[in-house]
Amino acid sequence: MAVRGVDPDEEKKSYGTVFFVGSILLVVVGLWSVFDDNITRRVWKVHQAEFTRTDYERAAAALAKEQERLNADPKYAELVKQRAAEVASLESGEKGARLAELRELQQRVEVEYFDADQEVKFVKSELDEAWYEFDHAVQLGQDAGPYRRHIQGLQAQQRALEPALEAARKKRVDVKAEIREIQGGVRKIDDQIYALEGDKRKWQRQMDNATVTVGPEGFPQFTLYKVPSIQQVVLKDFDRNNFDQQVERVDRCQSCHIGINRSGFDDLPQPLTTHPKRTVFLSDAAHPPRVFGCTVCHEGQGEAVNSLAQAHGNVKFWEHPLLEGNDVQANCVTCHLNVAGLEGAQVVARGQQIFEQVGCTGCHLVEGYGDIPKVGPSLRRVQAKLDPAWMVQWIQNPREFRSRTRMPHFYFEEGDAVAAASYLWAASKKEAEEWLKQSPMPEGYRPDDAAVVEKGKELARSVGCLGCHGLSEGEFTTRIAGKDLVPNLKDIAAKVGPRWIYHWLRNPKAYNPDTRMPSLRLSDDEALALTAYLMTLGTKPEPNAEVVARLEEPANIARGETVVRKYGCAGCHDIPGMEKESRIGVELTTFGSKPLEELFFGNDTSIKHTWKDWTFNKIHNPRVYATERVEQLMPHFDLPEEDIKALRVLLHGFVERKVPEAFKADHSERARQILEGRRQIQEYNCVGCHVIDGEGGYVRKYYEENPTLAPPPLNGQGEKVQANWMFGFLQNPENPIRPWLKVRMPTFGFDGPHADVFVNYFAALSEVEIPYVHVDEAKVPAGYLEAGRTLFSDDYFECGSCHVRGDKKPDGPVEDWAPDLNLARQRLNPDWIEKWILDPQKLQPGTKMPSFYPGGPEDILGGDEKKQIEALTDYIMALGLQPATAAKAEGEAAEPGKEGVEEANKQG
Amino acid sequence: MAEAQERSRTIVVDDKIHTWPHLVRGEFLVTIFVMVAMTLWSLLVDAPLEEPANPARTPNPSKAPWYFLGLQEMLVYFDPWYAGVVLPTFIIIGLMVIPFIDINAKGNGYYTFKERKWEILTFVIGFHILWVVTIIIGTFFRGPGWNLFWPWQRWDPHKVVALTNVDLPYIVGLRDYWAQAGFGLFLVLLYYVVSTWLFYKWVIWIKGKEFMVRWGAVRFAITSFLFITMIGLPVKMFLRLVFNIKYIMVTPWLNI
Repeated sequence: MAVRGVDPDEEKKSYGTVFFVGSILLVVVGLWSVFDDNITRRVWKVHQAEFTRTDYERAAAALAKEQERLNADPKYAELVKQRAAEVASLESGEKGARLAELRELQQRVEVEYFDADQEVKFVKSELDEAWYEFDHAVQLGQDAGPYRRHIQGLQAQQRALEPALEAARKKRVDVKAEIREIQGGVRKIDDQIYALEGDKRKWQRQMDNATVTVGPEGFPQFTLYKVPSIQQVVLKDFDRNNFDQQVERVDRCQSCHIGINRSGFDDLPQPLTTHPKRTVFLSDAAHPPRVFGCTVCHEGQGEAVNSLAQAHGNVKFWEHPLLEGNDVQANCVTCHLNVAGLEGAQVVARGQQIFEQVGCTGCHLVEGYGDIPKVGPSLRRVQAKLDPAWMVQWIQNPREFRSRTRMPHFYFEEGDAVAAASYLWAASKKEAEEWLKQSPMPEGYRPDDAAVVEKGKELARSVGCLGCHGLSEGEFTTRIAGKDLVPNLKDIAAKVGPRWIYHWLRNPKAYNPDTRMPSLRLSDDEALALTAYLMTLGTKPEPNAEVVARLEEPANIARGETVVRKYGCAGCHDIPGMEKESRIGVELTTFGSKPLEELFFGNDTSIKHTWKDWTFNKIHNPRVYATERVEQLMPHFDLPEEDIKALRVLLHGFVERKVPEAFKADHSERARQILEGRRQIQEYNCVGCHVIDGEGGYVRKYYEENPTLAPPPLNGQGEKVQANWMFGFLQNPENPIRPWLKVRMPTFGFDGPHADVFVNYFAALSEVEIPYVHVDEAKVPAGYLEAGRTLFSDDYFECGSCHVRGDKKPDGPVEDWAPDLNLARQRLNPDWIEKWILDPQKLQPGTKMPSFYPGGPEDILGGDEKKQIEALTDYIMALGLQPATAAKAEGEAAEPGKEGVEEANKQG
Repeated sequence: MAEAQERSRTIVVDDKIHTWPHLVRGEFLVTIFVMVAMTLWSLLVDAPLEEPANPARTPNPSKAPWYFLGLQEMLVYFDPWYAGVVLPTFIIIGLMVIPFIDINAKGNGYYTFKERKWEILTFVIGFHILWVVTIIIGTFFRGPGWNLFWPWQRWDPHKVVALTNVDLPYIVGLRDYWAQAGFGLFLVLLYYVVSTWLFYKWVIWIKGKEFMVRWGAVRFAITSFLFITMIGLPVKMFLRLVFNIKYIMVTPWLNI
């Protein structure tokens, strides 16, 4: 039998070499793991140590400099000298001797006082016990007599002891007071020195904060730089995980970015530098890091500290890598309802504006952007409006006709454009014919009369068309992302005919009840002249029977319906028969979190496979991912790169995230009103004429010579005017404030709800409630109206030299005229008038309204400026009491407002 | 001399040896090197964390724990009830009956391959080849959409593979439902009958008639059934991968 597996020499073998090699390896990898755990994976320690050193050194340098400054300060030097002299005098001489004596005495007095005090305390304690015994005896129904006597004995004892205690106390206080008095000189100087050393202490504190002192007390101690430690912020209730459970978010970013919320480190490189615009972003009113952490805005892997890539989340499987540059603004929209005008959110605000106005929402549904109206014109009666050949051309390539139109290019296949036009032509036929029946070619249309054309041109440039439309190449008021938001009319004759234009100008709502185009309340002659002028812009098309025939081919109409439906034309246009079409694009509510594998890159190999690159290129060239088999329908908007990036920032923010209310910015009714109002203002292009919330008033560029003839800016409007008046005026602005202006506030035909949106918007912007203003004349103090009238008069402020009052016009040139003060009672807020009189430049920089205060006249109401302003306001508010008819009856002789004043006085 | 030889033989034939140094010393050295390897591993490779679990978005591919990937791999070739219930049950039963069907007493208490060649080879086929290999395939070769990828290929989530698998009865031209089911059942039974006969011949050839007598009919039947069922897996894999055969037997209740 063979020997099975037993080697008799095994015991004699030495494995020393193997053991030695193994042990060495184990020691090496052991040390390596310690190094890895404390150095390699703890980069933040190096950064923090560097910052602590810099912090300390800067503070030390500043401290030295401060000390130098103090030393150079004669006052400080004098104080130091005085203090030294004073201290010296306490150490020797008469004062010194007395002080030493007193200190010795103080020790004795303290002992005396302690003894006396203790004796009394013990008696009191015994007394407490005696009272207890007494009460206890009474409660048990025993004889309390002995206890009472015991109490009385103790009370007598206490009384006997108290004088001695009082005497000891007094002695103690006296000695203390005397010592204090002797030292008083030094203390006084110390206080003065303390006041001068504020900055020094600050630097000293900063140095102390950067260091630790080690060593047991009583032995030499060492001051070392503070040991780096993890700096973390825990957000207990910010996040909910994918299972909708609350989870904590831990941000350790400040372990490296330790100087992020410290001023004065802007010059340091990353990660030690101070946050840009720290006081804006990190203030307690904004996002204090101790509450918000960092990743709420910046993303990244907040809890990771092992390496830069891990901390910034630039690792596989981390779903929220650090947002760099402007991308961080994507997160503004998560918490802020209104990003327009928000500092630091300019890019995402621009993206939002483009998204809302260029027509993205026509095809794409996004939560919160659902009720934005269609951006294109209604095609319900388009047959009555357009030249057929033009229509085909336009659908084929809109930018060929208008390079800055919002209408995108669809890259239609051969015949598709004609087909789409055919469908629209046929679908609008019925309603177009009805409209044409009611809107005949106007009589008296004289397109060949040069004078009429000239009058039309003059009107077009003055009455307000320019507020929205351009009339020649390059002319525009409101533009976004290189797009004219309102068509430029330089070629208008190629598109539409005089019949349509005339009726459109007279009453746009008759053609399209939902149009944004307002009525300028043109007279017949004015409308005819304007039509004649507009028909000179561009080449008139010849009637083209061939095109019409093609449009009426049934095959084209049928194909057109498919084309119109497929490309989602109804997303932007109102098309008969397609009222219920749904959006054809993909919903974008959570587009920002779309994983890469859900993005189709087609066969293009030049585009990097990232969300950012995909999105940029999709907007830049929407058909770039199309392949032979995968069709793409999104049209080309031709946006500048900068704007595509802004849009991308907005899209990046489209993620589903439930942020708790506590972290959200203002989401009140107010904020909602502002958002709604802003959208409506964009829709009706109010900013074309008016400056609103610091933006807009683009038409003012045509009034550079005479800005007072331009439409007024509406800053602070909510505070200025009465809500009732504004509500009425918006619905029917037929009685303008400044009737002498050539430019007219158009009638937009707003209904109640629309007007309400504006009123709420202005009130919310000015942060005022919508008050019901009632001026009670009975409460106007006696003499105020008279005083106001005097101030108003030509002897003082000469208000009448600019302000119109009903029919009484100022003498000066029209450019100097100012709003009708007889309307003030109905229109203005008295509180605002007071602010306005006090400082007009503050409310409206650049206004020609002169400022009278401070420096009002001495002889009215005792020179009290506040009272004068109140009086003037009361007088102005009383002006409107005068009935217009009465003023007419009295004629020019009547002092405007006088009757109102008298009437008011009578009531008073 | 002869006596000394005799003594030394006695000592050697005694199977017992001391744990020290024969076992402990070796274990200690192995421990050192294992610790070195594990420390290095943990230093160089971080824990493979993936994205947070999300009930709304399952990962692609969705994989079972690695030790179940063999099972998941079997699901590619068989019905869930067969690959997920029947086969695992047979595996467990098979492992349990090994002591009863294995009558080769050789190798007790010592290592030997020569004396247990066929017993060990059977286990190697079942465990190392079928079970471990399917785990390796499932772990390293299955990517998004449970498609096969070579290790050097990118796991493309959009990979498209033509779906052309057909049932065997359909290939031979049967279109009638019951005819297909009957034909399938016939084939499966035929597989068992023929295989059992071959297995019988093979055992006789390898081990001899005497062994078969000692083994007995019951033990033979159980072993042969389990072995044939086990071999059914690679057979089906072969048919699927080479001939695109989806199922051999198709009935409304179960497919094989």
